[in-house]
Amino acid sequence: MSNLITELEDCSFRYDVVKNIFLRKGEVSNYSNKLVLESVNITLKKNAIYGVLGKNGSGKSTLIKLIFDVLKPSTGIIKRNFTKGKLLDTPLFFHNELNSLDNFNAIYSLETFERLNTDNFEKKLAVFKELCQLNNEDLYKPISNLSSGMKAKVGFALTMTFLENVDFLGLDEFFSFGDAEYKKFSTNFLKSKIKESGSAIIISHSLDVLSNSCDEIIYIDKGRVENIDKPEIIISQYTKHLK
Amino acid sequence: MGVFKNFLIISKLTSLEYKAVHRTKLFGILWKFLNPLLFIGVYTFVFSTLYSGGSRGYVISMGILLFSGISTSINSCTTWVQPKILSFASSPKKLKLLFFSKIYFNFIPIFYLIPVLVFVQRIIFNIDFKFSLLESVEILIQVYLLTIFVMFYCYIVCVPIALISKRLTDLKDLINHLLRVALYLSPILWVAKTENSFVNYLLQIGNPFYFIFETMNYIIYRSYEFAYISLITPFVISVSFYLLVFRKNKFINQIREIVYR
Repeated sequence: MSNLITELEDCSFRYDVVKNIFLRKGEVSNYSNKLVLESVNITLKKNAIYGVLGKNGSGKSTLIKLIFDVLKPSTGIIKRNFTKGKLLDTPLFFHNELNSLDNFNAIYSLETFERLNTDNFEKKLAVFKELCQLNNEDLYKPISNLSSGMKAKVGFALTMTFLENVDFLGLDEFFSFGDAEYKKFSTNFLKSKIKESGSAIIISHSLDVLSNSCDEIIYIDKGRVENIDKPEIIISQYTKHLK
Repeated sequence: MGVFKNFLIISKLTSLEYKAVHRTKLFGILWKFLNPLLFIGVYTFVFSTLYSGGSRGYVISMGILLFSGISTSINSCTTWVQPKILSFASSPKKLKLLFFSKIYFNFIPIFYLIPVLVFVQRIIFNIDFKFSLLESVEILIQVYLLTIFVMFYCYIVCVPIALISKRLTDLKDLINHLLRVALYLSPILWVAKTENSFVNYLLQIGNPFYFIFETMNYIIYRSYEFAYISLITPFVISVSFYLLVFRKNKFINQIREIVYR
């Protein structure tokens, strides 16, 4: 296990059964008992970057949530060899009705347990401003009044400002923020964070991102792990399957 | 306890939540105070004037004010556990502070209104209950202590309810009715000291919020015979909820298990 970051042994997962007594039996059983993941056996090595590829609904997000202990497997065992793992799936906000700076203040308080007038606060604020690239006027607008591109930038900046000392990083479609220029900037920043953490697992539909960043890709179809191999092999298998 | 140590963070989070919730309202934060004030006004008018209860109506409104903090917290706690919560509060300490800030959010108006109530009592209702200035100060301190105690009790009750309501989704609807029943069965206008001791015990033990009004009566009437038996249920609830949820920070795993299912 010393050179492994995580190991899944015969893991399956199904969502809870619908409890509503007024739903007819037929209506419930059609969608409640389906396995989202079936007998997954994978081992992920330390200091390697893995990608996860598959169609929508194939079980990619469920797999990554199992790895990061967000979900518990219905059957099977998961061994983890990381202590500071972080799964990034949705951009971080404290409240949509607050402006970007207030959101930053709230998350800073929760992350650091420090007051808002320390040197560390000023440092973090500078990082946040640099990452979100908004002008002063927009920084004082409530998140709900920002354009979706700006919202994405603030969410990305809030998440990234406080991402420190992570030994295993998970990214669930956590790419594509803002306009083309910002997309490039954020992708490069994420890549640097992935390098920093050493080990990572990435879910993305962007074949470019996967082929450029990953050492190996896990190919999932209908809840089953079909293959784990080098990016070029899995990508050609996936594109063939799409045709 | 982390709550005392990090009180500045809690109050910062609470003030930001206030700003967010009331930003788009014309009267903003005033609503948080207007609602309980309206309640107090109506109860005082009904019980002091219509029922000629004198200061008694006023005492009732103090208890009602405290109960409003509990019911708002318990009703709102069913929405606390949500998928994004673990994104920005992933550790037990962060979650505790966040949850406590939500309780504090509902109790702030109470902390502000208590001295106002005591002051108004001295000006208008110091007739049948004549309190000296020192007694009024004593009442103020005692009611403050009771409010702080109730706030912590509320926190211990709210976190498990927030968790259970995600699994047992019907609880969200049921809780409203249970709170109403608890309020009706609290010693507001009456005290459970009938000739039938079984009924007395049932009322005093069955209602987990009975002790609040009982304590309020004790604070105001001074020579009031406090029913210590009413403390059993809150004690049992606090201990069992602590063991089920708070000990070894079990709640964070429970949130993880619940949140995406």
